[in-house]
Amino acid sequence: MEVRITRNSHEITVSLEENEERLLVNLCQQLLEFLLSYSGQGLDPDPLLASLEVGGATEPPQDIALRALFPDAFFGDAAASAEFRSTTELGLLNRKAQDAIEVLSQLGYYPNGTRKPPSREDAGAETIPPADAISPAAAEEEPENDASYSNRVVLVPADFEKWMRTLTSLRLVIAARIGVVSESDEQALEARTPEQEAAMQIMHFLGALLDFITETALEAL
Amino acid sequence: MTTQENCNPASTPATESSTGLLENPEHDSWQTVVWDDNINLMSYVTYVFRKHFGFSSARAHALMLRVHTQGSAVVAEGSKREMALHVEALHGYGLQATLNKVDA
Repeated sequence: MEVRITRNSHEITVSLEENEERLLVNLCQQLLEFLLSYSGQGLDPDPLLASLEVGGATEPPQDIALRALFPDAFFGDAAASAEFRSTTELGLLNRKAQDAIEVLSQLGYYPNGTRKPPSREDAGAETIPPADAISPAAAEEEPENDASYSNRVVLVPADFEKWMRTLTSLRLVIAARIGVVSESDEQALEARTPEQEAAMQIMHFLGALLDFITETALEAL
Repeated sequence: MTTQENCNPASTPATESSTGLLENPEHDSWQTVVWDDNINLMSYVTYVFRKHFGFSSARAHALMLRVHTQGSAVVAEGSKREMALHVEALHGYGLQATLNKVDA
């Protein structure tokens, strides 16, 4: 993965290798399915309509990953937490789903994971062909060398939050699934299973991208 | 230089920036508390504090460090309704946040 920032406009160009693109698309798609299956909805959630709905869940989710995404709002008060959950959870869920849909769209994919046809007019899709690479280093190379990156996305500041929120959702879900408590826990290092090791590498990848976008967003504030 | 963080429930916090101070002290006062989750990046928590609350860079950073080192921090105080809106927004960002009633 390569990320470059255009200083004045705070635009970020993210160049992904094929396996990275596949991973990110796969994760976003899984997150989307995960959220929507929990809420029992189809692939076209409307956050505004959802927030007007009565009758969201009252019980905290059984799934530890969902509890990380939708935590109790009142520490030690199940009744108050249930009331809060019933009025907010669906809207929160649909906004997270919408963010994931838009990230997928920027990567050039539909919510179901199929690739969109390449189109400049496609709203939200910002993939740039290698010949348009803007960095000085890329300009010195032959255009064919940029084929090592299978996907290049340009994020403008208006895109930052949907990416930050989606990457954060992914990290919370993965950490809950694998039981990773802290990346800096030295004792835990020895005890990690291969599955946890693989998950930690994914966490590092997502975290690196998240950190870069966040630092850029902070500068742009 | 706010004393909103970790205020003693038995005392009224003295800070010019708490909207809760303007209310009748006999009304309930509530806090928004953010909890450490070992996953969220420090940079991201700082960003959320700056973006959502409009805190200065220094204040956002200090509150983030408090969450990180002490496990939690009070980030806002006021009416229950205001705090509920903050908590919902913070959940939207992926932070662990709760409402806490301050005993008068």
